[in-house]
Amino acid sequence: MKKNNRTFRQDCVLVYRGIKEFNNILPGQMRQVLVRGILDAILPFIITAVTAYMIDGLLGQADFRQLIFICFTGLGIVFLLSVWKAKKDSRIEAGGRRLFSCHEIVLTDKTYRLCYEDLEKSSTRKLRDEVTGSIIVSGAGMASLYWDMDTLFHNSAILVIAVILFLRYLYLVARWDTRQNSDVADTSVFILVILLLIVLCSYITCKTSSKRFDVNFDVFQHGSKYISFGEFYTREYLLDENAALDARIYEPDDLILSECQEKCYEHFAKGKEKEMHAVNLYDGIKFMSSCICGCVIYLLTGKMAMQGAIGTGSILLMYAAVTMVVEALSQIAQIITDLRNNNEHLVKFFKYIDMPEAGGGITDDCELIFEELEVRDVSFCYPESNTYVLENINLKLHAGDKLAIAGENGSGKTTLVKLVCGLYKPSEGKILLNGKDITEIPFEKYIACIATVFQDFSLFPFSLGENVAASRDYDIARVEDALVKAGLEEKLLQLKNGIRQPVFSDFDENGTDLSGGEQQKVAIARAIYKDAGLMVLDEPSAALDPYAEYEIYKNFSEITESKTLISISHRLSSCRMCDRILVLDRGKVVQEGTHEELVKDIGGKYYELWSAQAQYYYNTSHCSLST
Amino acid sequence: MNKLNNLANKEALSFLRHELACYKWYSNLLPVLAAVVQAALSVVLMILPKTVLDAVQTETGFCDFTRNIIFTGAVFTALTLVNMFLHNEISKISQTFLYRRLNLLWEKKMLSMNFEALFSGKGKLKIEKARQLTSSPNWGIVDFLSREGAILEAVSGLIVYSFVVGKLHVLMLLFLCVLFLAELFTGLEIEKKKQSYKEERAGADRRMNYIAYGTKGIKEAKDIRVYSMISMLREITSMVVQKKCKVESDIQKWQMFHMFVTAAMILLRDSVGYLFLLYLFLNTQMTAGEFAMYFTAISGIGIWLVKIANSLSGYKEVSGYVSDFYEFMKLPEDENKTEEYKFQTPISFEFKNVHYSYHITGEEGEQVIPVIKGLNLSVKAGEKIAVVGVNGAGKSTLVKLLCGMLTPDEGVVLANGKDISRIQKRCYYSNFAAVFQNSKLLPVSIAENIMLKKTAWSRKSSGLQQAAPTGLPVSGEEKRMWDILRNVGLEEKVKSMPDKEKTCLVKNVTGGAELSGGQEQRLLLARALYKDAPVLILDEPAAALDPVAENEIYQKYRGLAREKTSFFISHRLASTRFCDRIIFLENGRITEMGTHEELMGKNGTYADMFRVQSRYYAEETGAM
Repeated sequence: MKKNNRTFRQDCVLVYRGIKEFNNILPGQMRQVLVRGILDAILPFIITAVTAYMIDGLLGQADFRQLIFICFTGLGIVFLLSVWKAKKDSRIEAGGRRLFSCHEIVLTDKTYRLCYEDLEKSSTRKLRDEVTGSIIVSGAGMASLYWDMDTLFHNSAILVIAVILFLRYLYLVARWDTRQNSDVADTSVFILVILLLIVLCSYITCKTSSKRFDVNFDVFQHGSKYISFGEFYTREYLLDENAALDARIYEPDDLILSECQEKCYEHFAKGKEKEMHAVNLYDGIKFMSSCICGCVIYLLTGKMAMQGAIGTGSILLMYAAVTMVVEALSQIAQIITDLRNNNEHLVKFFKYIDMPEAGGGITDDCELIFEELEVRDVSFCYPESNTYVLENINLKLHAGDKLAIAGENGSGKTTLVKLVCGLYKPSEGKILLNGKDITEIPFEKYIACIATVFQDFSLFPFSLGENVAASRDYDIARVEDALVKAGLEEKLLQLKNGIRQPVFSDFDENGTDLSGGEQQKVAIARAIYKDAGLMVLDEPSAALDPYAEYEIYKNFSEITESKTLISISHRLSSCRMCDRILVLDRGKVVQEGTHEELVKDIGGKYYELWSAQAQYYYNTSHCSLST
Repeated sequence: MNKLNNLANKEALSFLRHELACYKWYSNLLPVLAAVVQAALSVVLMILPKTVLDAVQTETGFCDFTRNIIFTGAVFTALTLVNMFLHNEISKISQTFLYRRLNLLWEKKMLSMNFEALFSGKGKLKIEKARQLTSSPNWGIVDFLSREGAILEAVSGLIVYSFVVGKLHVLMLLFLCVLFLAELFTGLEIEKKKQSYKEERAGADRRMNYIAYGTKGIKEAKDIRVYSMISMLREITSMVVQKKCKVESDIQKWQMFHMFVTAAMILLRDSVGYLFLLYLFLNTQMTAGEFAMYFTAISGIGIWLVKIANSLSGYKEVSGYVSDFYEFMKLPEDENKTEEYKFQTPISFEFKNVHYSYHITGEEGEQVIPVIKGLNLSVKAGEKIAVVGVNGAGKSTLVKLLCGMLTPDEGVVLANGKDISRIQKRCYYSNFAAVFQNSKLLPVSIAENIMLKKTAWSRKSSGLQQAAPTGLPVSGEEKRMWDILRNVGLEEKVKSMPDKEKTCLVKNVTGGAELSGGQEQRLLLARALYKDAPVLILDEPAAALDPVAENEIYQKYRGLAREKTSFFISHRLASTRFCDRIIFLENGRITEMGTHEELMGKNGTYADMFRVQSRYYAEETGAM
């Protein structure tokens, strides 16, 4: 019984773990669903039972009072159970509405705790996209598990009730037999026929309907990949203003339309057609056998009732029981197949949840004070490649030093910053803080001495204060001070709620939008607020126009006054403010020195970079001087 | 107003029906057929148990009994199968219609829509709505057929049951109707109560969505780690989840109340039904079979009534969706090319007193933000123009006006002396090749990204053999592509890739290759050159480049733009000196114009800005 390379037992273990993990997503929900499943199964039987008893009573000349008693007890029970079920229903509905987002929250919380290096791997990102994508496309994974368990609970309950009813029927017939002393063989043949019928019918439906979820397995498994093609166009490209300009100038209509159709929608359409084709067949067989089975039951029980073996009302109960058994069994068979297929997705979910987390080192209370940072013989290559991005980097920074790093795109500047921030671990060599290997210092403690503004920093749509302080509670005066230092004084005065004003509108609809330059300033303010010994600025002016850029650099010396600084910029102008410049080329340090020294070395890399930028200014200022 | 709405709705529905009929001619018949079958099925479902019970009670012969059962059973089986088949067909057609037709309609519309309509406030809303309505196979317009089927089925079921109950006693029917109305009324009241949470729920949902999907990227991950934000994010997360729970459970309290009322109504209905039937059974000639049948009818009629109410609101909802989608389809489009207007190349341009404002609808009503304020400019055929200015000076707007994406509020833009608003848009666009700021690459192969059409081999591999390109020999096209790749300095890079020009881009979608910012920019340039249009526009092409690469692009620019009228937009002033003329935009007007030397000589804003930018470099020259 191997399926997708797993035995039934292994599949059960996965499902069991899934149920346990599900409790982290929506606590207590599974139990609610179980109770509702049972209630849902009992209710229709009670209603049928009431009618059955009534008919038996009517035909058996029971007195009026007895009939009324049966009627009202039955209806009363139905009412009470319905109310109970209503309560469960609304709880379950409320939970179900946050299923997808809570699922994502559990994953995102894991994301926070992953090693940055692992997180950046494309395999990790792909895994996450797959887990998220498949739940969105078809609920595959945790949502399918939840829905399947719901159906499974419900149908198992039906099965149990039906079996009880069937046993009761057997008991009635057997009792009648012994009492009548009639031909035992006759009734046992009936019973055998009924049993055989149920088994046969269930076998056929189970066999066919269990395949139902295999038909569309392709879409179920690769759906998230297909949808990512479609969504690229429908969620990004076609909604994007710049892309719309492109689309009008270049008329890629045919290309885009056929891409969407071929790589995304046609898969889904074909899958659906295939699925419905199979469903027609499987459900056809199921309904047909259930109908035939039902009619035979009517015939047989009808005959028994005619002979007086059972009450007339029992015919209704038996019919209900048998047809529901067939339906329940086929549902259960389907669900088992679906659960086993769904395990393909659960495995991915577990894989993500089980990834190793960042951490390590022993936390102690004493605070680290930045004195000296040393990068010793550090080489680095990305985990999934074998070319070195950085080779044998050596660097020493004392408190108060100001270092600039220059180099072309791809020379390894940003990688070096990430190494210094402890986001990557060196492939070879060590980074030492105050003489201690930083891998031995807990990350939280180490990072407390560094304030970094990344090239692609991100702000969060919470309040300005929370953004600057990176915390829920913050020192208002210090936040304001940091913002003023970063050059946002004017903006701050404009804001209605001051630093309580939310930024952007994806979280709070009253949020304020910030321009690119303002965002950059907030990011700088965040670094200032942190008040760490070492400040690392990676291209802090990339998004700015010349005036704004000038403005930021103007304040720089004030901001970084007593701090140690590592600064990276394309525009070499900013290098001039630093005491020392490190020039990187293809992962190696090729030059080191002050601006004045480096610019004189006409064969050097720095001169090349400098002159490429300066030539226009140089020539023109020359011109303008001469004119 | 209401009537007008209905009319619009009718139009929208007939639009959808037409589209459905075009997809599969019988689509619209399916719900009607389903209703007919449903009616027949509900009759059989009442008759079948009655036959059995009556046979037992009246002690019919076993042979007759068997015959009856076999006959009714066969009809029952056949109807069940047909019913199932119809429902499956509805579900299949609805979804494949969504995948094959609705999505295509949306995309086509997005590509052919007028640019200004596309980014107007109203346009954006309609687009987003239409997108959502066609994005899921489980919700939206896809429900149309099944909802229509549901309402027709409910009506036919109700008719059958009412007929049976009416035959029993008219008063019973009346009682059931009263009960239904009471239930309907409470349902509506509760729905109103639930609606009052709408905004609160939307707010909670938005926060939930941000928390769930907004902070998972690697971009955020760096800052989260470096600034130790986990505890803040967790606090906010638990706050948001709690809020969401609270809103939902508040809403669900009303829902529970509704269900309680329903359960009570059912209790009332069934008790009255049983008592009434008991009375009839004891006092008239009613059989057990009839007793069961009538009871089924009484409880059934209630169920059908509720179904009608539900399916009615469901249908109303879905026809609302259809109207929304139709509204989207009615947004203005650029007309198809019908006339061919050929310009003499190179083209000259003239802006005459052009004004343009953006309209932004915010909280405080519509805001009008003037961007271009009385711009006059004439560009000679084949001239190379640089447009400079600070962010927000109106550079990009100027370009959009030039290529006809935006229509001036006032004034005209002339191309070779002809008012461009008189030329069909698509026809006019074909004269431009451009690299816009933040242009996007597509998740297709490099060759397709350059040519922007399906190549012969990709068509073959996907098995789609419609209209093979016979115009140009394939080798000719490919040769030109390689020439251009060499020209922009990408030849080696592309040749070093495993699949060469067939390598797919946009890694997160295709799993193919990722280009660096500079390489991407070069590829976009290659695309513009491949089009070989008479006008070339480059909007901030060097923003993502390092100094060396930037310099290289500038050097090539002159050669690339030969015999073309070209526009070069930048906020880096140094980069514009290889152009024939520099236009300095400030606050929506041209404040200075001329060659670099002339502008420096004027000692105006341009010169000032230039000095700020070249401060460090200039000092250096001074020192040397």
